[in-house]
Amino acid sequence: MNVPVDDNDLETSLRNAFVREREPSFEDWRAKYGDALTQLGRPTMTLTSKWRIQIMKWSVAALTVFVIAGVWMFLRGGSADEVFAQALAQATKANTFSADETMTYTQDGKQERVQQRIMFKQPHLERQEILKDGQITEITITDYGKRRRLSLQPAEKEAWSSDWNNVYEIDPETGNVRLEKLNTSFREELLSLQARAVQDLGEVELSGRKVRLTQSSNEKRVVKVWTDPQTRRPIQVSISRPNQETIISSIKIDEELPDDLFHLDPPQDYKISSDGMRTPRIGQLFAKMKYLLLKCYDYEAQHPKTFPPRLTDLYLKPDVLQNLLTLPGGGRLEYIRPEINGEMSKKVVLHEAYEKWPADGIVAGFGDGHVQRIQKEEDFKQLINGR
Amino acid sequence: VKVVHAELSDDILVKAACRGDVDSFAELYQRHLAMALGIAYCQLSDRALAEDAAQESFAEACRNLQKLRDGRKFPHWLAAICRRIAGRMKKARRHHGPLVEQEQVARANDDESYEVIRAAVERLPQVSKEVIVLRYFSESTHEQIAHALNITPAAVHGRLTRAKEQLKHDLTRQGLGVNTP
Repeated sequence: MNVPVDDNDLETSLRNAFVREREPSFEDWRAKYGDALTQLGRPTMTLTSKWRIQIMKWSVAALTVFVIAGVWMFLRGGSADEVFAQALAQATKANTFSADETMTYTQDGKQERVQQRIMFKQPHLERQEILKDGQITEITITDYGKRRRLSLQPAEKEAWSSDWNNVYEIDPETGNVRLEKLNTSFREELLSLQARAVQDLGEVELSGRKVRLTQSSNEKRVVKVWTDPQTRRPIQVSISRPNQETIISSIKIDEELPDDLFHLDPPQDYKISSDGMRTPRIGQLFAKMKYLLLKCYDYEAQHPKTFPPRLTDLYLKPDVLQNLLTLPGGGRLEYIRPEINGEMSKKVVLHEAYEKWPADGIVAGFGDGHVQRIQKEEDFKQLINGR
Repeated sequence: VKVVHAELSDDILVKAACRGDVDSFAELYQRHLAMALGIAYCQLSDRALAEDAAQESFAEACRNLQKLRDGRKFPHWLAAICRRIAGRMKKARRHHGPLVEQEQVARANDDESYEVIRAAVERLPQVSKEVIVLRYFSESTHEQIAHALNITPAAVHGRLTRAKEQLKHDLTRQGLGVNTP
């Protein structure tokens, strides 16, 4: 029997004792566990997505308050509307915006904090920075004119370049798809909050500056706005709700933003990779489904824990719905009304109807609002059958 | 820009996979399969069972990838999943008889001396066994082992040296190998 007699022998014996055999390939694994791949690209309730949902809910609530307040102010003479209209008219002449947003909230007894910096330069440029403990962890720059997006991860020196040619959004007036463009609604929302904050709390000091502090409140939240007395523009806004506070600070409207903040070339020492390009059909389907799912959430806001029985029950004009349901290249959408419980991210709510499974798969929308492409029919069937 | 997955870090592959890029997950699978097999083998001492455990670990990792906040920790995270799954399999199959025997049957034509070595590795403390198996069964580098075990490459070197000393001592005690008259 050959056994090791010295260190070299031991090394050799160990190598030979564990001779590597054929290992299962990825295709072997896929044949057995391919269903797991359907989870890729599907957002879970991470801190960031929780935060986005919070922002979405907050936006819906803000819009509702805004509409109600607008009607009320209109009946009273419309003074806040006039203020807002003036501020908006002034701001839309501006072409730059930047602000820092910090949201602190308590969930399951634990305090969480998310920070982002938003900048844009009209008509096409946008930059978003995600921060953690004051350090930038991710930068996203989008040029809607050149139809490209660049994501940077400074800590890893890695860059991700994405083709934005086939990224669409829905025109709410018509229900038609259009190429996604720069969204300035964050600025408009801040200005509307400023216009509504009519309770004057007097002159206060903010970062060494004398500013005017105003407030508006209802049973759900308190909004405070710090306004520069010279420019009359907001420089800080806070929104306090039970268990949640959002502070939008360092607000700068129409101040110089250097072009190099929006460059799409990653620094030279970054490793760069890229996303595959979406086809126009896939891009349009994504936009339509996301919009319809958002409208399902609007419905659910009015009918707690209930999605609409049919898509025709959504709060959409018939012609808008008709356009939304007209799919590129023909075809139709199927709606499966879900029960609002369990893992909504696994419940197919909308999907392309098919007779024969298309070679490039189908697009499906899920109960948590995300949309994804499903390549294999068996994966789709598993999702449907597992409901 | 053409993506060369093999050149990308675990972190960026995890992020891409989270966006739905199957090729990135395939690269993670190819890159870390041997390590996962090694981790599972440490618990199960059976190659076929280790393959099952490793594959199931990748399935669980795939389903929960979005929960991994730091993609750089993918190997360590995967190793933890694999340890848990292999442990569960070991417990579930304990009543089917000793696993080492199954391995011995599967390797009936193997050189007898290698069986002695494998048996000696089996007797090592878990910490030592893990580095030996990852080094010689998985053929992982010191750096890869360090990532999987969340320790430094220097610590890997130290553990390997000690593990080999323990092996030599074990073999000698049985009247085999080093310093055997």
